[in-house]
Amino acid sequence: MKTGLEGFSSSKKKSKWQGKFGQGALWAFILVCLLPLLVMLYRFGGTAYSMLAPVGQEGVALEFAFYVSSLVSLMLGFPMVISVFYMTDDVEKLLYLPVRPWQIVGAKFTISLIYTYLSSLYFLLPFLAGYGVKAGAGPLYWVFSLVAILFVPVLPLIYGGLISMVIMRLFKRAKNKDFLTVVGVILALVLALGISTVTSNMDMDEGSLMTLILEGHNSMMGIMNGIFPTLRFIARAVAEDSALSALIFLAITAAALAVFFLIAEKLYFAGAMGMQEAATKRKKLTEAQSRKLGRRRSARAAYFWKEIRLLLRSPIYFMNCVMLVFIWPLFVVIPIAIQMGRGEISGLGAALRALDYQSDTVVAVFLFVALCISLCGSFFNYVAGTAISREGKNLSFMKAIPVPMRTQLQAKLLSALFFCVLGTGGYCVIIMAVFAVLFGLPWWTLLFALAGSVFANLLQCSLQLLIDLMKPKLNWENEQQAVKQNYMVVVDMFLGAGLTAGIGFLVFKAYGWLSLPLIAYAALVCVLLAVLSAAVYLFVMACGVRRMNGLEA
Amino acid sequence: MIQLEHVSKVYSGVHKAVDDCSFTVEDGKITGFIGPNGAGKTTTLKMITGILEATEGKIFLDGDDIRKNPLEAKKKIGFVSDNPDNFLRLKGAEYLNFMADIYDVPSEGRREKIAAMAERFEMTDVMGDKILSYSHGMRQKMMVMGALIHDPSIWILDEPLTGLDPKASFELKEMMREHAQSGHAVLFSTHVLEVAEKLCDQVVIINRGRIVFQGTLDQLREGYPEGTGLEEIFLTVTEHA
Ligand SMILES: Nc1ncnc2c1ncn2[C@@H]1O[C@H](COP(=O)(O)OP(=O)(O)OP(=O)(O)O)[C@@H](O)[C@H]1O
Ligand SMILES: [Mg+2]
Repeated sequence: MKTGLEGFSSSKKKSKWQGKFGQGALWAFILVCLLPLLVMLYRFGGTAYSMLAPVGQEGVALEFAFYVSSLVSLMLGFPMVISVFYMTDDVEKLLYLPVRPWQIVGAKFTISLIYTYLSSLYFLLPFLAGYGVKAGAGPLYWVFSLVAILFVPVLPLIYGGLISMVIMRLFKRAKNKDFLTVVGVILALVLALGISTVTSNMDMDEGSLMTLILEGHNSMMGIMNGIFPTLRFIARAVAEDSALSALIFLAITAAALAVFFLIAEKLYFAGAMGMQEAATKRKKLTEAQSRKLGRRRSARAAYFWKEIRLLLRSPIYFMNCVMLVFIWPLFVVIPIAIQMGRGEISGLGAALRALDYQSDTVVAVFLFVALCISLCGSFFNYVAGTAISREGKNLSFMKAIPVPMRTQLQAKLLSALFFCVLGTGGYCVIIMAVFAVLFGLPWWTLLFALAGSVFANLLQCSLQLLIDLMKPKLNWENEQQAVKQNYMVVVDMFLGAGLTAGIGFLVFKAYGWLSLPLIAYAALVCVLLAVLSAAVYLFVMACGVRRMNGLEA
Repeated sequence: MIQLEHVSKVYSGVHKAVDDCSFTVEDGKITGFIGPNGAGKTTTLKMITGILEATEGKIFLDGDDIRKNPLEAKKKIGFVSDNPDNFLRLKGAEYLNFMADIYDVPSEGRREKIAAMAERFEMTDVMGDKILSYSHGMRQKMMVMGALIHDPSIWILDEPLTGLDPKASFELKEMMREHAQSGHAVLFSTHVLEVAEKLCDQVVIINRGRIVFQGTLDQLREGYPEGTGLEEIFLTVTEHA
């Protein structure tokens, strides 16, 4: 048994007590990091209630929470569902067993649901608790809340499962199956987001909206359903202790599940068979190709490119660890584009032009947003957070080669940093360059945005690597388990969020306290971030090397 | 040359998988490492290559202590593990080039070397395909090629012949012979006694973590009546340990 902090201390033989203590300390540390976020969500639930209750619309808060949670479950769950359903290599072992397709799908659906609880629980539980305590809710509230937590993620996953089955059926015979699948997943996500934006903000003029609000009795509920029509029932059940609504919610969910399994019975095997077929050309490499493949690199560079290749080429790793950090702007752009298309924010262009791009306030906002986005990079990717886990049994390779452990860890960290900076700072720099050209945003801001992004991501990636080093999941049979049955990844996510909120808050507040010139302040923030991230990096390297030597696959 | 001095390995603080093993793999000879399932062969080979840390004892590779001087020692080793399912998403040529970079093989002659090895193992046509699309035996061949790309002086192979077709198996045995004849050390584990009989100059027999025999096959046969099969001797040796 390997416990959390074992291997960090030099002595080999350790008493049970110390192991337990290390484990406890680790969890305590994680809890402390998560606490601010949980408290925030808890308070948010209470505030939402006290604000909306006077107008009799408190149910809307619940509906909103369920809606966001459903949407997140869909966004995170869909890539996961497609990996669990099709890309784990146990699929091939299941195919020759005498079971019906729906039984396999049922088992896989349950696993996906459990993975989803890992993240949805954090969000819904404190929110519902805050709301319930503030409302002085009775026992029925808590019962229905539990029902909501258990069953709200079902519908998003059904959607994910259906789309996966269609995609896999479509691309069954395709040559570049892996690539097409990833493209299909991205398109489906875009589509889902688009549809749910279009359907959730129903066109309504202010007059009718006001009457709706004034009606009270949660009359506004139902406007945020989007593609999740069941939400209004569960929200009503929780808000008004309505057993009937709860029953309707459960009935619809059950019906949806039944339909899902019926479709799975027809569609699943068709896509699953031949999933393991890999493209092969069977052709001699041409002179030019072999020259290109035969280029010499340093060990560190070779290791770095190996990491990058494996991450990009394994659909499971790509979708679960890398993809989000590149496609997140879609989630911002699509809703805005849809609303602009409807003419709801027609004044945007004029408003942007009206700003004074030389003024400190505007520049400061740009820099601050860029920094926050970069800090959030850790929220969107788990490259560093699974760097060791992804090796699995191949950990022995790391130990067999004559490359210092330090170099290997550096290469792993660098590959994470590469994706993170590209997907956060990269976008910011592009946007800011556009603003610089169009509106005259000062060019020096780009430099700070980039530097800030590098250090912010170095900090987050180092921390993720540290957590993975403490408790890597090495004993896996398929790649899915390395990234999803890896509880620490959820810890990464919340730790990253806590850190983002903390640093963002400090940077924001300190600007007011210090009243430095903006450029000096930006430089100061960059330097402080650089020092902090360098310190964390050095710490991780120092104990990481020792930890790696202690690990045995 | 590989020297093991009183090497032991204890898994998870309780299970003693290798118990006080001492033996020497000499240069210029092929040494077969045989023993029943779970005897501790893989564990021993992993300790020699630095993948596992020996709980006790010392291991020297051409004089370099694997614990004190790991990088130097590892450079000398070409290791083929018992699991060929690695780096499946890399193309064959990419994998070999990656290994060449890792072991710091000069670019001069690198491509010719890869081409020659691919030719010998009949892998030329699939070098541009991902290892994922290879059969078990093809993967095994790829691992062997990757392990030998840097001309290591010491070869350590964990059941290298499993899954290879007659031609590839013949080629690999031939290569092992050539390597030993040029004055280097070859250590490989196997279950197949015929292979050991035909190929090995020396055998080391391990049973339940202990070395029960070490020497040439002729020495092993001593003390048994003329014409006793190797299989019978092996069974007797590993039974009465
Ligand atoms: N990672 C591990 N953790 C705990 N015990 C292990 C581990 N690996 C092997 N063992 C134990 O060590 C002993 C020796 O295993 P080893 O793999 O070295 O055998 P082997 O001789 O290679 O067998 P085979 O012929 O089946 O390959 C076995 O009893 C096994 O259960
Ligand atoms: Mg073995």
